[in-house]
Amino acid sequence: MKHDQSTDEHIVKEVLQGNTNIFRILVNRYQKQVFNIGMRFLRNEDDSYDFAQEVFIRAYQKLSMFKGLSPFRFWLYKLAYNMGINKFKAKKDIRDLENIDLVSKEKNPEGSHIETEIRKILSNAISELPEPYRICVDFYFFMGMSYAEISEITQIPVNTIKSNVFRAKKILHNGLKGTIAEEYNEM
Amino acid sequence: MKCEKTMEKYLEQDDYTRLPIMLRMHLLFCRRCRNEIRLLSDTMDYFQETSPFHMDRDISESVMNRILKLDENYSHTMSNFKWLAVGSFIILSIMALPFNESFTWMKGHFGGNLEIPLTMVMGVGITIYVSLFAGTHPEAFQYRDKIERFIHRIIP
Repeated sequence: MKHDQSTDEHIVKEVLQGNTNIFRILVNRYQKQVFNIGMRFLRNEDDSYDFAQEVFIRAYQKLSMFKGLSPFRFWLYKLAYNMGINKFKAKKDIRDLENIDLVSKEKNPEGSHIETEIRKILSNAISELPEPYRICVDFYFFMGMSYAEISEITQIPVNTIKSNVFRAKKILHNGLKGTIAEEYNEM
Repeated sequence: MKCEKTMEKYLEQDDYTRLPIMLRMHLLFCRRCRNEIRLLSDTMDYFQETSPFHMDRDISESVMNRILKLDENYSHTMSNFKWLAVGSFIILSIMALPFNESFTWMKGHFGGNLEIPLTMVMGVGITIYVSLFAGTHPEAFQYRDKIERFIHRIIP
């Protein structure tokens, strides 16, 4: 498909001109991220799948409001974050993060073991953070956003984000000491 | 700079492509910090290639089905004001023709037969405009049947 390499903003423009079908490309590009935002707020796979669908449908309906002042993905994450926080407030069902398994992608047995260990460390780091700031760590570590970008999406002050991500990084750093990942790295 | 302070400074960073000079100097001479930072950096790079939770279902098909059922599309790229402006321009141009010299000038240049083709050109122009408007604004005709029935009731 010729639009597969197109920028998000170009696809949005085409959708707004009536080419509804290529909205699918944006869904394919960002469904994982939106699902992850859902998981962080709702802690349930089925609810998060429904949540991700709702976010994309809402994004489609509000697409004409996207003015292109920031990249489309930030606009989408902001929409997902706001919908997630509203759902979270409505649900108020807080369960421990430890109950949710973080994904492990098997590449080789040794690599898989290291990755599981690393994920466990990050999972512990995240679970030590206050509830509203956990998603900031996701945005930072998994979506590669800067503190300013996270602040723009979540409306949480940059310094608060900085200190929470710092805490997570510190726990991660300390957790990595003495693990097989460290031994693997030194080889 | 001590090792502990170096790590603190490193962890505080947002953009790892521009590390402070003091930190870089320390890393140049300290193998232990270099290793620790490499491990941390590799770990953070690894996180960016993955997601915190595993998604094993593709939702694109169901999202698109729901969107297509919404009956909301963005096919109207031109505002109604622009449509009205273009339509008014065409009508005013036709109305202005008898009051300017262009007809006489054209007659002098191309002969009297031009009157018929010019009328046809105008007709084609208006037909294209109306067809485009009707094609892009189907909702404007949704009350057509009701209006027709109402007219038939008044004038049987």
